[in-house]
Amino acid sequence: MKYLTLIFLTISSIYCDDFSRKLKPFLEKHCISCHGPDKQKGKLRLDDISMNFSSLDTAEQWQFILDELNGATMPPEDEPQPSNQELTEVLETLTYQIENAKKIHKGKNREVIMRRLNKREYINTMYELTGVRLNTADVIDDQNTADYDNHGEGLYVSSFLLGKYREYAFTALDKVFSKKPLKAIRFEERSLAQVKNDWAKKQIAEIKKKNFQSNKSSGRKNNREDLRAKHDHLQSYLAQPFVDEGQVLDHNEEIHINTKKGKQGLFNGWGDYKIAIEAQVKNLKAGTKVYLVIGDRHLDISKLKDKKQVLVFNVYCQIKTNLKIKFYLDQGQGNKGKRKKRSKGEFPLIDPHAPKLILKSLAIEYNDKSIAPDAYKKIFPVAKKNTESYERYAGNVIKYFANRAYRGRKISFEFYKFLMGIYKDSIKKGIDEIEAFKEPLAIILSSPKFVYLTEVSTTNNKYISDLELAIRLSYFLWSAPPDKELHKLAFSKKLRNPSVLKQQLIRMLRDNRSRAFSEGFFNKWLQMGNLNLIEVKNSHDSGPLKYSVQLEKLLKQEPLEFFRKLLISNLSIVNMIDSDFLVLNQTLASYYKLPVQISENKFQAVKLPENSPRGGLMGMGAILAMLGNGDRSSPVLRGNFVLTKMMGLHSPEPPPNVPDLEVQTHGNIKEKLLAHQAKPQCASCHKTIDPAGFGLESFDQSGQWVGINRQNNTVVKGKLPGLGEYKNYFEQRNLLLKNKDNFAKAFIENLSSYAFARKVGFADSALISRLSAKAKKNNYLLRDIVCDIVLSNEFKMK
Amino acid sequence: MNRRDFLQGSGAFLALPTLETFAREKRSTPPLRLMFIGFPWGVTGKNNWFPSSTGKNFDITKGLKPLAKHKNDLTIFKNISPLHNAHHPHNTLAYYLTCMNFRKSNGGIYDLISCDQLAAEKLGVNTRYSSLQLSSLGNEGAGAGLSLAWDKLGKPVPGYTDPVALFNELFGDGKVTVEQRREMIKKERSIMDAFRYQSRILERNVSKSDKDKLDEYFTSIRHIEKGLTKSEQWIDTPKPKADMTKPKKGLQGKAQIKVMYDLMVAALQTDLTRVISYRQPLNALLKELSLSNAHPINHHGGKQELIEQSIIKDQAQSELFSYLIERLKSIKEFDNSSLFDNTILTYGSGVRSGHMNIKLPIIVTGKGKGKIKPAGYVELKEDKNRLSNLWLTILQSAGLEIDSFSHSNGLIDEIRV
Repeated sequence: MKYLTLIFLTISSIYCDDFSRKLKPFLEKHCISCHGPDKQKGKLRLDDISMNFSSLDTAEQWQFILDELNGATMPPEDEPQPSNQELTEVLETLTYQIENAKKIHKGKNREVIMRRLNKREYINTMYELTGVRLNTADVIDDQNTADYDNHGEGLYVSSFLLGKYREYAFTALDKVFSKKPLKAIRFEERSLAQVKNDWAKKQIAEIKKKNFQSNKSSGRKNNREDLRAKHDHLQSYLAQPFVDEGQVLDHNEEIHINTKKGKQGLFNGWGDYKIAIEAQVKNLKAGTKVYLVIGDRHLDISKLKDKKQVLVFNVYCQIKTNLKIKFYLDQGQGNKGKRKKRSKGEFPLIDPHAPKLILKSLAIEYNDKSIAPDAYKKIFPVAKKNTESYERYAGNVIKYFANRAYRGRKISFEFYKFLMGIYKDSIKKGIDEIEAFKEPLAIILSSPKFVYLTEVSTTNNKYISDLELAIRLSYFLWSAPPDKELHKLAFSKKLRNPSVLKQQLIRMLRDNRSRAFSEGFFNKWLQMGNLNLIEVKNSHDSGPLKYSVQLEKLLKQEPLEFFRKLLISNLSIVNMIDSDFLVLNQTLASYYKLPVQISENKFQAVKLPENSPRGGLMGMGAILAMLGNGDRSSPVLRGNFVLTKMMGLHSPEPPPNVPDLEVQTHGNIKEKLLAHQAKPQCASCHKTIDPAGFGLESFDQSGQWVGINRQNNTVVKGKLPGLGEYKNYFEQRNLLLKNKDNFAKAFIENLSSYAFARKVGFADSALISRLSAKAKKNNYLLRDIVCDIVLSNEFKMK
Repeated sequence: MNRRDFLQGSGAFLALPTLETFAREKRSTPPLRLMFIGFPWGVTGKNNWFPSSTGKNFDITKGLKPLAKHKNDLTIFKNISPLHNAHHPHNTLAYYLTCMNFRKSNGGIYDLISCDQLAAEKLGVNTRYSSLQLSSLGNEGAGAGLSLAWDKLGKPVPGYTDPVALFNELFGDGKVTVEQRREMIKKERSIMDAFRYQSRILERNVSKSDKDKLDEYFTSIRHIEKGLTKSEQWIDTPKPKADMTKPKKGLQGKAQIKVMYDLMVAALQTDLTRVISYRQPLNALLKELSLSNAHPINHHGGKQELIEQSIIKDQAQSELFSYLIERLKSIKEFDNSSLFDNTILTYGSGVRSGHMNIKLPIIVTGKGKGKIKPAGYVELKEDKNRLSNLWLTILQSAGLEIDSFSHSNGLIDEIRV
């Protein structure tokens, strides 16, 4: 079970002095008799083992010992065993010491390793160059195990990858050269009333033709009554007052809008659709919420209460041969007006006074965003002149493309000649003049100068060049190559000027491309990928807004939008611990039960009421859901999140080979977790982790607020290391605010690691302290922090 | 002819009918073949998979039930473990064939290459493919890597994940003439030369550690060139006929694993290769059986419902494996022996259950031309139970003249003849 996952964690350095005091006697008592001067079982001798953890070998030796202790393989079963308390202490001390050593070793090297483009950068770069956005699922994963995906040490090149690069290049170029018009699929039904009414009238006529006689072949006894009921049902539908204004829907009634084209569906299933309806809601009592339901998305249509109007929604949903939509009323408590469920063969009379959705017309649009409108122009900015020879034209096209692919550096003459040779060969074989470009361009797109982000390091200058600075900056903020403006500034040597650099940074953050920064850095820092490993169950009381694939997509977007808001508006990162606003759309606001009316299609900052449990990262649905196993929340994972993300503490990997636990099946979650601490291998860390997460038990596995009540008021009490005890979630959040300096420092360290595209550790401690101190004076404003990182010497150093 | 037609056929300018290849080597008996299959997430603990009594007459547990008919051909280990028993617990197959120490950033000096790739260096000289790798599309909890295989530099080797693509590669006909193919190979070589030239210029301007990174690029080029050379050698050779039809598109779960097994058998039968590894998928199988995700099943935490599910999963996998053994037994070679007689087949996982990376579930079977023997349920001596010892034993049995693999400290005598 995921919430019993063991997570080791280190808290402070108080154990440092305890190290030899605690470990030595333990070794002497339990280990030396077999691994000492007299015997060295398994060729291991521990009486003279070094305590100097700054040596990598020593640290690894101790790691080995820790693993044996965690795996309970040593001391052997037939030898005297250490007491639980003894073992807990030793495990805790050793784990901490090794974690600390790792940190020191990790940060020893400040060198930026030359690296290839990572997957995100590759896709973005290909888009800038060719106008084609390759499908993420089609491009091979990086397999990078480093902290961030731009760290060079984990980015490998293989023959397989080189082959793939050329394959992807052909895929992209095929698309550009095919010259097919942009793929926008539209569907429109202007008069839904007519469609429905014609259908109903036809049905009635058919029933009358049969003279209400049962169809013998159906073999059903009640068929006659059924036909009568259906007849009356349809009549009552047509007798409604608004039937000529649109198709009339009752509460919970689902209709299928036919989107067939021949036998095939017009659309291709899951995707981002733009759906427009022209409609009105009638007969509605005050205080009732109304929704248009598409899949599991509940779209608020309260605006339709007063008058008929057009609403446009951007919805991620599934449409093939039809679009299913439903009208849904939510009256809060009670189920007045709930329509009887229509079962097979049951056709109730329609109540004309019930609440109605009158749907006049509907339109669906799907835009294929995988190719830019100016894709062709990106490769051929000018057409061939009549007077120009194809060879000359080809030369220019290839040079221009290579210059962009090589990020402002020229193609060498020899390589150019080689590509021209390939081009001319193709022409000789009778291949079309444009088609013949594919091969040389694809070769450029797998050549080393494109694949690697290289920086010249043989000159004496310890700083990188202006062009290299532009490239670093754009791959940091955009995960994409520099644009014209950056190139221009680099070329005129102005980019290095601090005020110009700052200006550019602000411009670049406002640009849509900076969303790549949120995804590359913030998502990875949050480890949001873990949410993909689980399927989250709904709460009992989730109302019409259920946790679903569609909702999860919005929930995942929320932290990214929040981060982007902090960045662009230059707000404090302390907002991540607690904030008086969130960045939401209507669906999420409703999911959080906030009484606001905002746009469905756009995320915007929403002020939170006083005493709201929301605000800060800990109240975000995606994060709460991720910290569980889907079925239920996990105080362990949540505790780990609080310690590592909200407090900036360090957390090692869960240790291997710890025997599985039998779960205690009675008691509440807290009691179960306490039972779990009976094992020293578990207790050594979980006595710190679990209490840090109990406060968040006021949210369920799907991120819904369950509050603090008689059932859970003992569960939600906990303790934060160094900050003391708390009674509930609100106290917990307030305690965390007191610790904001430590949180900020750890966050800035992470941000720097992504910015410098390398590990940041021991050797950078001075820089991190300096950045943190400056940020503190400035209230930890995020954009200023990013700016200070970019303006630091380290950002420009080789 | 466009480049992709070429690539589809490339490497697949295909093998001789079995007898001819053997004749080329002047063989009187079929060659020895190696198969390595790994599955993620281990098995159910507490004698639901592992037998309780050792020896040849071990008890068939629930999880092994479908394998009962092959009982006399199996070796199962009670306590085989990697030396570095401290891998990330979710890295369940990344180190399986290498015994690599993942805690060390670059692995050990000896344990970068996986044993199948090492075997391929010798066993793959005379075949169209030195080795074949099959894999799952995502990592499915297997940890780092693209397949079970890692090359000499410790880089992941990719594998075929789609049966149709593998079939096309092995038996499909490229619509390309030999002449055209020769020309394409020549062009590919010239492209590699151009890349090498550009890398050399880059190399002049970068630091020492960057040169190491660039070295990966050079190695990749060399690797592609090696492939081109092999293609040239086989360019005039017609392809073998497969003893199976082209697989249907989009197979999932049991059907997919089964057809991958069929393709492995067909590739061995036609001597396209003599070394195959397969990182077997699991997620689709669980879905097909209406079971929970792999992670909760693995960390059942004593919950009876999840344990039951885990056993169903084990049984389904054992059933598939039993099918593979049967297929191998049913294939007759030219000297009337069976493919099973000439193969050493291992089947296992890099995790036992939960977070236990020791005492792995591993089955060895196949007669390996009489070089190995079945030993039933075996408890190894505590100081000789390293996983690397198993791979060393198998490599030696396959004729490799090596005396160590990774951190091996001996051979597993129980299965040696």
